[in-house]
Amino acid sequence: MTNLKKAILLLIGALFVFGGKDAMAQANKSNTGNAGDQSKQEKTTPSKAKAKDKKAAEKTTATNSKAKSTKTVDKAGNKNNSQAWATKTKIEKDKPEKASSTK
Amino acid sequence: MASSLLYKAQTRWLFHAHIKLKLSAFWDESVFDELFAVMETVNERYNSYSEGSFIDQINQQAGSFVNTDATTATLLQRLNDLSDDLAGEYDITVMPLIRLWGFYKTSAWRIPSDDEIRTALSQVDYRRIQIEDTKVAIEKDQEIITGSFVKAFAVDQVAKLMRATGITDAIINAGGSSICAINNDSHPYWQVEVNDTEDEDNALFLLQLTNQCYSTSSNENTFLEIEGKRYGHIISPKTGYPSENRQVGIISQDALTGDVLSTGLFNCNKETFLRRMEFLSEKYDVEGFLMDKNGDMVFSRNFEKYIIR
Repeated sequence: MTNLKKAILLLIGALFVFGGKDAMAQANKSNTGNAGDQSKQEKTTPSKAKAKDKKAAEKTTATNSKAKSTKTVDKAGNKNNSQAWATKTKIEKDKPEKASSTK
Repeated sequence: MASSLLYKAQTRWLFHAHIKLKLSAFWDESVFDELFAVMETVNERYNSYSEGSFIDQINQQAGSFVNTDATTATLLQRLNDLSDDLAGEYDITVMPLIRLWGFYKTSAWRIPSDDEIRTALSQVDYRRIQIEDTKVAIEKDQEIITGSFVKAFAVDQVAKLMRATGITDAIINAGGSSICAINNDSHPYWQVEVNDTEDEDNALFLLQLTNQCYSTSSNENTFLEIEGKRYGHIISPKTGYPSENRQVGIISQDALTGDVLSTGLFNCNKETFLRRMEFLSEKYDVEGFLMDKNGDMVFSRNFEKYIIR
């Protein structure tokens, strides 16, 4: 598949999932963004993006249910049986982060 | 003004806080597992509350040297240097005072006597931590608490991994008290909203950060109320009493430095804060503000240039 086709598919997918204006802006920005982000962009297919339904975007993500375990390897190469939470990925816009002291 | 860029965000519970990672939407979400794994590793190895961590071992074997790793030794030395720069107003051996005031797993909520405070203070002194290569020892009656810095240390490790991976547009929000902005040319800044801790509806200011961190210390969420008076959990290692300030915010180049400075400076009055910030701004490229118990604020020399509203 040519890069052009991939780009068109991505754009259509993004429009389908996120709606017109924001997705256009995102696609435009990503094409002018950094190389690392662009290379990853190709790996995110429209169908995958579609799977993050609107419900997921609305709900809070932290559930701390420790539903599954994933194996990860840290920088030193040590295997780490880290506990993964039943997390949900939210789609968010660029908005201010709120500071609040927890320590 | 916020842009129309889209991001993926995940929030997980670590270090007794909600840790949120938010990055460009076109990254595959599997990257979150790798990023959070770094934080979990920090939690396991360097959190004093994690059984078997290097810091826990140092505490358990107080009085003897413990074999740690290079990271532990470097980290503790760096914290000691920051304590020097704060003239001892920050001290990671403050745990006896934390216990005395009832902020750790007890319900001994009472005002300690002067004698009790004097005794606890005699156990608090970061200069008595011995570091020889990767071997570390504290004195028998000492105890290190990592609560004031370990989360920020984890944030720095995640930020490093993000940059190494090629993630150049992201923000890490660790419980609101440690926020790290990662920016590229397409998204040159992130905004951070700072509110009055005693009146959440009162927005103090909106900050604009570019590849910088924001750390805050306050008694907003952790305090004891004894006989109608509120006592915060940030206790001066010099006086043994909780600071009465309302809030400190620090903009820094890395999360650890910001977190440590905000904690130490929380114990200062306005005049001392301004004096210390002159030196600290020069040395660490940091800016900040302090709000005292009356709601009066002072800003370091260049803090206001980050305020956009």
